[in-house]
Amino acid sequence: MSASLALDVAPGTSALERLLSVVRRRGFHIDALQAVRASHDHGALSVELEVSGERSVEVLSRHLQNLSDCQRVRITGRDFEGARARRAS
Amino acid sequence: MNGAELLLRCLEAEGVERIWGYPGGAIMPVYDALLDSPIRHFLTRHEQGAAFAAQGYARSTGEVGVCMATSGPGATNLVTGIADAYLDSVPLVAITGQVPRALIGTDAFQEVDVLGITLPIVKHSYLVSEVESIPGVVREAFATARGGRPGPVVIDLPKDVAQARVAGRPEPVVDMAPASLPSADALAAAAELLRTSQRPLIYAGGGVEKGSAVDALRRFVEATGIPVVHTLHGLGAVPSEHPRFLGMLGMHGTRAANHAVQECDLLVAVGVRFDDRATGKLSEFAPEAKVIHLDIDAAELGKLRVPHAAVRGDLSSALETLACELEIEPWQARCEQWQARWPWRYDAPFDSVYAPALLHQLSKSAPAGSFVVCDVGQHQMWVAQHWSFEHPRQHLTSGGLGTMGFGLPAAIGVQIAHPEATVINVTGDGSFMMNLQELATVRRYDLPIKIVVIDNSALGMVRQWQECFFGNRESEVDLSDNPDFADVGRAFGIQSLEIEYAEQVSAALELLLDSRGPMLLHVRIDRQANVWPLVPAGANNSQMITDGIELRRSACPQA
Repeated sequence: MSASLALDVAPGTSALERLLSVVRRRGFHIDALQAVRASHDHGALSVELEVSGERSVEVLSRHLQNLSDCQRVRITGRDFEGARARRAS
Repeated sequence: MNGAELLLRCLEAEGVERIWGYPGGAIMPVYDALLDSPIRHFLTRHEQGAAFAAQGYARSTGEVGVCMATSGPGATNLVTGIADAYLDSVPLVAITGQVPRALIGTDAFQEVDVLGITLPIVKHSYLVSEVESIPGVVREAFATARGGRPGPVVIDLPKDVAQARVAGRPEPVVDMAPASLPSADALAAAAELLRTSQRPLIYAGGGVEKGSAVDALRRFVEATGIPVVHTLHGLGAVPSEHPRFLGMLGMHGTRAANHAVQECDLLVAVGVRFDDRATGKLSEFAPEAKVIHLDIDAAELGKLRVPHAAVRGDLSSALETLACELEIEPWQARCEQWQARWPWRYDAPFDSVYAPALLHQLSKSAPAGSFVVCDVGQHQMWVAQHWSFEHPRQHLTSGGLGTMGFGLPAAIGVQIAHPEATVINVTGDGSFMMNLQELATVRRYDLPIKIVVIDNSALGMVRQWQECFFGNRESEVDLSDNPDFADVGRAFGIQSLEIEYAEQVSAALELLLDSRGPMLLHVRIDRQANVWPLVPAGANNSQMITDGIELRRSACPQA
């Protein structure tokens, strides 16, 4: 299955690296990634991820929520065509 | 003051009284500051020993253990201990020296990216980039290590930050926020499952002790009368002698425990993570059961088995709320029949030492409140099967990572934390050789640890698996060229004794437990001794092999 996630990530050493490491280790591929500095929160990153994998995306989101750097994790979409098309290509 | 002195003031403010470590170039400012600190430092003979000693302290007290090493190889030598703490949810703060900031990323002498190396095996980690940030980093690190589901935190401190002048002070220590309470909806769903169950079973793990829920679990068992099985780390949550306790489940679990799991209609999973060593073939684990899963960590709920009721939060509170009287006498009687049908036997008909019998006798002879600290392998499973556990905190074992070499240094940390207690390190000849150098630490601090080396001159568990599942083709498991371990002990100034026959066991154990200082008991056992029962990898827990005869039958059904 594929899913999209939106995360608010606090500024911190290796915050993005840590987040991506969890996604990989918990069994998901990253199909798309966008990270921009949030205008409303000094230094924080607003991250959007499209992931695919066989495991539960709810469990992945809870693993991400356990990271000290992750202030908020939301599942914003599931089984969207974009991710499938990218995997197929 | 400088950054190193500020670091130590912050550690003192966190209540740290002991650190285990090993000095070196990049961490030298901290070691210099240690000379003026009330914190006592214990020098191990390898950084891995420091990490495991700090773990021994943490596991046996529930407090945060602290270890320290220099950059590069010092830091990488801590890594196994950090990973071990991560897998077993042990609160640990590991402080590593780092090369000066200007040299980071230049492949400087003893530079390694310890932050990157440890990313997947820590709850959190810090590279301290400004000396002023030390108080906040230490405060956060300790709160993170001990909060929620405990785990390790790394603080990587560049040498120039440690040397920089600063006028800071420790941040005030704040009380830990209590664990969140479970939701009323989740508890109501769980209560309904309990009420309608005919064959409920408690499957309790290390989270019970980590969540300070041992007493609550015991009250829950008394109120409900539900039979109990434990994981390796759950052992002692309900005392081994309790009539409702069926034993450890899983790969080397008891037959009663595994049968109960396979036949129950409701599994009350408390502080467990459905580890493969416990579940066997996951899709066939507790096949008839609905599941109530209680855990502090939301990420465990539904990770491997989707529960019918997921109760996240404080375990004590949840168990107190769910406690109720149940009418399950037929199921209780069935579990009692299984227990009575398959008791452990210790009447081995041979002259050599039967390790399960020795460990059972040692367990019964050791004073109340004794700690047993294992290594990894056959002896570890024999301890799990045959020791009589009073409390999970008194049984230290590397369960998740399964690290050979854990035992001796962890026992050092336990003995330092509990100087009056009897601390017994049960180890194997393979494991013992992995951190043998810590005998020097035992001697240096005159720690009265009782070391029992169960020696089968082989990597016994691997040899057993090669015998069972690889056509008895032994590959690199022979350790018949081991040194004489009693001589090794004496070389470190430790009283040592060797035994080989069953008739020597009683006198040897008496001498061991009566010795005032450290003592090493070298026990030679049969090389072919195996751990039974055994659930083969990929099988379900009802497919136990209970001895070698059964193994040959299962391998050759026509025989």
